[in-house]
Amino acid sequence: MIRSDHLLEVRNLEVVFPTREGTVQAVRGVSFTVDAGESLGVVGESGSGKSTLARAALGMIELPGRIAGGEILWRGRSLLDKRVARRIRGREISMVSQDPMASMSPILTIGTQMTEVMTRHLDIGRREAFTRAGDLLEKVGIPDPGRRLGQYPFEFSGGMQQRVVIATALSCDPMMLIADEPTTALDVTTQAQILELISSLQKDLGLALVLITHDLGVVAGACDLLKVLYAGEIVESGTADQLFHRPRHPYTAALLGSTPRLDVKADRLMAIEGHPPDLRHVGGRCSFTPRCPHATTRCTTESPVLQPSEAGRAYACWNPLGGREAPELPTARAGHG
Amino acid sequence: MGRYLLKRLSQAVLVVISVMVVVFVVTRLIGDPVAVMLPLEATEENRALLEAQLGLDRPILAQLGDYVADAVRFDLGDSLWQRRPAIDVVLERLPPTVLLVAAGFSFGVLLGLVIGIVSGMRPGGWVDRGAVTLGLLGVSLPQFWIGLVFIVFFSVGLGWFPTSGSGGIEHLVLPAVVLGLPVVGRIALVTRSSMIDELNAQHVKDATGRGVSRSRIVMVHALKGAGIASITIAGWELIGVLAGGAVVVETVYAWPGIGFTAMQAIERHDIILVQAVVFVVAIMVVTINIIVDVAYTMLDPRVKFDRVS
Repeated sequence: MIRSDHLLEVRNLEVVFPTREGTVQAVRGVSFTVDAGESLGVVGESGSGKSTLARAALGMIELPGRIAGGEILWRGRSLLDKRVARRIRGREISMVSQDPMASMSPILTIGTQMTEVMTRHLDIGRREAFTRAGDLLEKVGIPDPGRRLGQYPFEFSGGMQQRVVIATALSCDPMMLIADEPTTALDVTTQAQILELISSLQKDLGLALVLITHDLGVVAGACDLLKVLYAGEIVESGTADQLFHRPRHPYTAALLGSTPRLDVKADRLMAIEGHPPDLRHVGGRCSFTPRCPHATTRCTTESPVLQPSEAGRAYACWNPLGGREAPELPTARAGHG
Repeated sequence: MGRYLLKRLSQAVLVVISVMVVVFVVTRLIGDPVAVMLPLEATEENRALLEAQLGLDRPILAQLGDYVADAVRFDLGDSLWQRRPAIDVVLERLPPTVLLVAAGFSFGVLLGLVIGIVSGMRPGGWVDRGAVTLGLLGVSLPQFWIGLVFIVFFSVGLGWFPTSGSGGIEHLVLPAVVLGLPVVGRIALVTRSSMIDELNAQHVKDATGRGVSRSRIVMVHALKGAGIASITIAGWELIGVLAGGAVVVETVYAWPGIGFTAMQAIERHDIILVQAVVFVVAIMVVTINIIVDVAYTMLDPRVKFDRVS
């Protein structure tokens, strides 16, 4: 037992994947904490290490992946210990993943898959678990749960199936829910409903929520705190309000510029030029340098560390954007609506 | 389901009839039973007389017509060799074959499943490598050769089992194992690869994240999916064992079943008995096929009868 005042505390986490062509450093020195009832958004593009981070927080890094350094503490217990992680998964921390149709076995009924977790972790029998599963389905907005429990995943629509997955994740009253791109595979109207459901459940149940996404629009309403991940590192963190209105890191600003918004009139969305760096060869400089419009010589020779600045926010950049006013973003986002 | 079964049954009848027609024509084209039945010094008249007795002098289409008309009433003619109804000979020899096939097939499927599951859980490990090698050996070694090697080794050398014949359980062991070895190999290889696919599937990773135990993931989630692939293969294996393996293995071990009988009938040009054996085996094969397809639809909820037809 290590002392930790937080629900989840990740310290200096390093996750690597050895490949024939070199070691991929998927997560590089990431630290953050999640407290009870808090909602944290982790934002990054594909390959930024966000899903690896999610799996690490569930103690699910699989070979050939390896945790090369750091610590993950869940209420003071190390999740790097597989036995601890096994007991906690599903019981205290649960997850919802991207594609609801692929998330459950296609050949077992919803009822079977909902109850198997409960009978394992809670001290209840099958009959009681089925009753509870029915109640949960009702709570996530699925009508006629009694009949639905006997059906298979392919008999549900994507949105309905994601509700089932969420209900299953919450079936053992966990303290934290990790949602890895929970709306990406759904159509836009369904996305909003699922997000709303997650948010309201989070508030009702006092859940801690880690919402992982590439889509800033998704975290906008759902999360209080945000971490922006780039090339396996946190490049900026702060409240949703701070990051949305005064991004300091050029990458955060560029992400904002590439996200369609209703409240801002934009002639066109700005793509971020270039590609994320090769994660086998990183370090010794700022990873964003090749794509950064503000890069200087210092950025290419020295790696910036995450520096706390005003009011609980932090960023890792040698040339942060803007002062206190709205920054000059590298986008066509002129004219606030 | 009723309509589906009816459709499959009528198809099965067609298959059996087609098989019988082919066998009927082929047996009459490739050999002359009369020449085998009569002594060498028989005259032309003797030959003509016997041909007339057996009805072999008539046009082949007329013979076929009579044969089909009789076969519908389960009268398959008298065995030329044993001089009694051929169907009686076959049915008499059927139980030993059923026993041998059941033993060999169960041995093959059970051992194949176990090997497949264990090696699929850790692909690339030493257990897996050993299992794949064993599987490939089982698939590729010819049964008549393994059969003889086993006799030399286990019967003649170690004296553990009798060399051939039937009787107690000790007579059953060697032929059943030899019959089941290719089944072990193929079931193991197929189960292994579908276990690997299943265990790498997203739903298995997510089930782990939801807190489903590893043992339940392997034995319920992955195995049910892998089992669907294996049962299709198992159906084919059963057919192979019954229609192919049994003939070879029964002959090697002088096991008094229909496979051995078929060999004896062929040697004696007893075309009536050959036809009877093929008839019974064909019926069993189409029945197994229907059972496998029904089992498949019951195991996999995504497959429904109305969608199949």
